[in-house]
Amino acid sequence: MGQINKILEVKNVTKIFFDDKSHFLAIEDISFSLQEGEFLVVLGPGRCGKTVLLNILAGLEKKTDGELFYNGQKYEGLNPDISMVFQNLMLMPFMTVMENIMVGMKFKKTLTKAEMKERAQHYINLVGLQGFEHSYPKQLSGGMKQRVGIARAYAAAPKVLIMDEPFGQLDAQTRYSMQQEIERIWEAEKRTIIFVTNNIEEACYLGSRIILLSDSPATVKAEYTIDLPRSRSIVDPEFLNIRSIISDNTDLSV
Amino acid sequence: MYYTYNTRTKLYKMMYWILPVVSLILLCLLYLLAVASNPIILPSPELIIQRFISMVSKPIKGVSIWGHIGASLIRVLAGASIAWVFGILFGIMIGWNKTCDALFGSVFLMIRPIPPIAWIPLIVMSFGIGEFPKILLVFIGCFTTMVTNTYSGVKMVNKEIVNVGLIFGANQSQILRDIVIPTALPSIFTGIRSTIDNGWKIVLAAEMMGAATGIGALITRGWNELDMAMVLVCIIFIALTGAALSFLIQKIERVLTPWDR
Repeated sequence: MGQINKILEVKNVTKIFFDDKSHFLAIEDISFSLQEGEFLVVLGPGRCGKTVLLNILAGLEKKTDGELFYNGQKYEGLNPDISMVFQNLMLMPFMTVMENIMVGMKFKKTLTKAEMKERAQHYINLVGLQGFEHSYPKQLSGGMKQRVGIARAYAAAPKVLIMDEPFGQLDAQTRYSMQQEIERIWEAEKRTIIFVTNNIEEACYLGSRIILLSDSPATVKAEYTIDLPRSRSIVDPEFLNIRSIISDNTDLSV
Repeated sequence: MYYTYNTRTKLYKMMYWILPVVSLILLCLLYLLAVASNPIILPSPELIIQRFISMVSKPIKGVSIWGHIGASLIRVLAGASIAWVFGILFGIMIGWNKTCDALFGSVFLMIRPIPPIAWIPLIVMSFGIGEFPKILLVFIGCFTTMVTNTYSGVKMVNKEIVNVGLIFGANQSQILRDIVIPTALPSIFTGIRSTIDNGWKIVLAAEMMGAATGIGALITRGWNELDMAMVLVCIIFIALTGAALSFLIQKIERVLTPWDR
């Protein structure tokens, strides 16, 4: 076997936003790579440019400079193997849970209706939404909506899953249970995940590796490999130790 | 506890049935008051009921009352439905495509505030007083409303939800069909409901200018013969037909936009 497969590589990516009078350096010279099957957490203070970085990886935003590689191949723009769980949920209000989860398959048109339903049902069961197949997003709680978002991203059958602060808007209790959920789902269906958060505890709980970004402009400040066994206890001394090391190194967001 | 709660909700439910009836009765009382102060012009309730019965049982100008209502209704629906098709298409076009908006948007903005009735002289001079000019007038009045509502519905689509489509592999036509149009649908329906109201206003004006059939023609006839009871019966029929149409569209809307309750 030898070397672990680098599924995604980010090389010297920089993004500058220009407008008529001024420009704004959002991310500066970011480089990191992503190994197949790993749970990479990108940790950074609020509004530091994390979402911009993700949008560049997903192809929703153009980079100013730098290169992106997927399985060793240079790529630009949208990539059908990369899917996303959005920060503001962004479910289609006019689609039922089932229809929302089928959306990726429907657009790509590679499966029959029965196959799409079967796969959607599989992910509905995986995220624990049985019985809500025909509900509309409006009728669901915050945690349930985010489960739909996760199932939708998984059902599109991506190789890489980007999650942009998916639990940012949940209350603390729901957030803890969703963290356990996402870990369980990741172990049940191994995918490569890039998970973005500004919460240090969440990062230490979920990440096999953490990339710490500095405050605006975002640069890579440090990288940590977390070897603790899963599922982790947030009061374990070793966990607390790592947490405080990262915490001391994190820029405070104003 | 449960007992009191249930009794109260039952009471409220009953109230929601009773209150509309109360307001209707108040309206009738108000009319009686108006009759008392102006008995020469305003017909008494007995007279209205008499006229109602005679209008329902005997044809006027050779056509039954239902025929007159039907004639107006067909004009409204013909003009409005053509306006729905073109208004929705045009609204999506200028709402979604910036070039189209730049090209047509400002001209549309100028045409929009023109009251459709202002076109009557031009249209009557060009097309006479047949069916076509009336339907055309209704169309003009409904088209602008339909475009405005569709346009604002399309504008409700935000960039992020389009990004969702892009990430999940949608092409431009899928984004339009599966994201933009459903998002705009509730306001498209608001547009359809207001075109029905507009359509009635315009068709009445058009018919009062000159027509053999239609509710507007009956009102003009009642006016000419100083038969105010007939005018009032026509007004009641217009109100009832309008209410029935709104009700029907609301039902259709419920079926087509089940998420928007």
